[in-house]
Amino acid sequence: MRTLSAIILGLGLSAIAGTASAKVVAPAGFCETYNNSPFCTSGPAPCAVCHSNTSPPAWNSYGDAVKAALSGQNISEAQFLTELPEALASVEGLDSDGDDFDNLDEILGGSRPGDSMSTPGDLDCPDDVSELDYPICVYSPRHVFRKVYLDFCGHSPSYDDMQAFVALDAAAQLDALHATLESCVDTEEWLGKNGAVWRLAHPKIRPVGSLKAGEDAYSTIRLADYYNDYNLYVWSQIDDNDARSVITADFFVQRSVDLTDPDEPKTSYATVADIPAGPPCGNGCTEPMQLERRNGNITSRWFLDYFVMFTPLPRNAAAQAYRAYLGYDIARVEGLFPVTGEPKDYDNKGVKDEACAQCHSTLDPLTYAYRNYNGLTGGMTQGGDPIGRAMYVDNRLEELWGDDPSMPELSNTPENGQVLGQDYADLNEWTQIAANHDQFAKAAVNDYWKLLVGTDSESDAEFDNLWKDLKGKHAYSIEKMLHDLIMTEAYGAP
Amino acid sequence: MHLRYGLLIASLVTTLGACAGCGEDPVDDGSGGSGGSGGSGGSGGGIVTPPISAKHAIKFKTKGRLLKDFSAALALPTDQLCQELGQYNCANVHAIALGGVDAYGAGVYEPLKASAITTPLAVDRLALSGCTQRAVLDFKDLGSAKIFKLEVENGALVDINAESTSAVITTLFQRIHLRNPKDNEAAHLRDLYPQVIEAGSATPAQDWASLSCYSVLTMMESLFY
Repeated sequence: MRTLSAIILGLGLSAIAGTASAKVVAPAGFCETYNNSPFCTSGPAPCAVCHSNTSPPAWNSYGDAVKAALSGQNISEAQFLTELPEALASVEGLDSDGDDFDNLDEILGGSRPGDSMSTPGDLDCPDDVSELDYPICVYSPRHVFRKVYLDFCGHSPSYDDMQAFVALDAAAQLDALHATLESCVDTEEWLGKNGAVWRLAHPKIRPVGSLKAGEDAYSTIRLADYYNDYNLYVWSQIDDNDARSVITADFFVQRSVDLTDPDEPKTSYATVADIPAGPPCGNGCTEPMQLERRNGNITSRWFLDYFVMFTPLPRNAAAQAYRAYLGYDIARVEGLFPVTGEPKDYDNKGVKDEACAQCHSTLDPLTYAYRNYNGLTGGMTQGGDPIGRAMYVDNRLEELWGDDPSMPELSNTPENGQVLGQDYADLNEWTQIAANHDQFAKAAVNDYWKLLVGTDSESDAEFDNLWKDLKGKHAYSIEKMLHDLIMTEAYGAP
Repeated sequence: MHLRYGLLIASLVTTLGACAGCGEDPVDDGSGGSGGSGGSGGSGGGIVTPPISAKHAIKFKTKGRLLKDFSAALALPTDQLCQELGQYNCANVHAIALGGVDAYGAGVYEPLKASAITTPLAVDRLALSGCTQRAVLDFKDLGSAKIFKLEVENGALVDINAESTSAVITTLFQRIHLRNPKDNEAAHLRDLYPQVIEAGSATPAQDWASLSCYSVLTMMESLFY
């Protein structure tokens, strides 16, 4: 288990310190110079402004230009921050990505200066679109009608449907758009197994077919049935259910398919109090977590088996929860809320080193909530009872690693810490803080923004309205949010 | 999935001489193309540069949508549209290149952020296979053809300017683009016929049908939305 921890830690380190010239302080330094850039309105700039990749670090054309303007590749962070403003200024007049926009215009316009596909959006829009063959820069109901069909039903409307739509007056067209959406979000393409919503969960759940139990299992190593995770995710996104349930649920969700008409299967989801063992999957399908300790998909059997595994302090689990449901990828230096005095390095992994501490001062306090959540470690007893896999285990670290001389401070690991700059007592509080934080709503909306608009949201007033209304008047109903999303200019104006 | 537009344009639109975005239809009257259209050309009218979206928010249809739209347009079941080696659904074989994922087996959880080098080839493969099959099926009994109700004698069209030919062109555009063809778009397809003959086709009517279908089906307006 120490080997695995070392690998995980090593991967994290390589992401942030794989080369001496990858600067964790760069995003914040960039925003010191360009604090009026849209990139800097909600924290440090995205890595993508300068990087084409962060693990291992690689630079786009703009990043290369800035790098070339510095005095060297391996300068200290202090020296880097000293030189950065002048280096940035020296390349402002260049067009690094060759898209006909100077770097400074792009930075101030909110487009990436090292990406020729990213340009200041409004600058290309003509003043008058009435003479064009098709509308650009203005909302087009006809365009949206086809788009709603394609995005939510998975196919284009028929010619006759389109003709009927075009014949409607403007108000009726808008009603028809909402009616089409309402109909399409009940289709298999949207909510069924492997449908559009299901597919959104892939990077959150990170399934591994060879470890699957239950339906569709094919290997002999059947750890867990991650379809339980998909079921909860999809349920949380449909039918006006509370999207926060995905990380707060103390219940489970089962999926069933009505095959009355074999040509048109109808999938439905229902909440249940537990997932019982039984054919065809046996124990691998069960969800053993105590309900009072269950927090949706970040405490599921699959999540704990796969992301905690045999690790005492499962930073990987906390980082994945942070990445999947809050949209912050710590490996990309996102979502850093450093806690004073951290990291303590209870498991003796060397995370106090300067290069590590910059992220671990956020990551470790984020991870403490998992100190008693067990993954695959087993074969020991607690009070005479087997220590449960994928369960909450009182004094887990003491029971399983208490006498490990390589980690003498491990048992001092607290269960409380900080998430998003707020104190929590345990994972139950962790998830409440996270689920009610603006960032959860932003991340939830951004999943659909990327899916439907096709770009990252970055800074967009329409995007801001969507996540604020998701939290507010829509009471975390994704479907209600989608009705607003298809009305945005970002979605409906090509 | 953001495609390398230039790559697709080069491989599909230029090769085929397709002509989306040309013409003078008024905005949003139901006959104009949706935002994804583009391309160049125009019979006798020189090159007309279409307006380019400022937002770069046009999306590639990707695997599932392409398969369903192509199948619906060509009245072919999805599992018969295209099969590699006669056994494997082309859309599954080329899933990743077409913007799909393979989460459980290969750990590809999200579609590629840009098109793969083989994406245009995979799209061409789907389109050409589907169009060829549709033409073969229709030419077995032109009287009950789904799309290609053409007047044919000895393998050749009786008249490329016949009403039946115009009706086929209109059917293609209505089934694929949900609109009627513009005059120059129809002219492009008619211009294709003598080229098919010149190429030495023994069955120019059927080959023209396949290639016309392929041209319309691979216009950007059909691949992007």
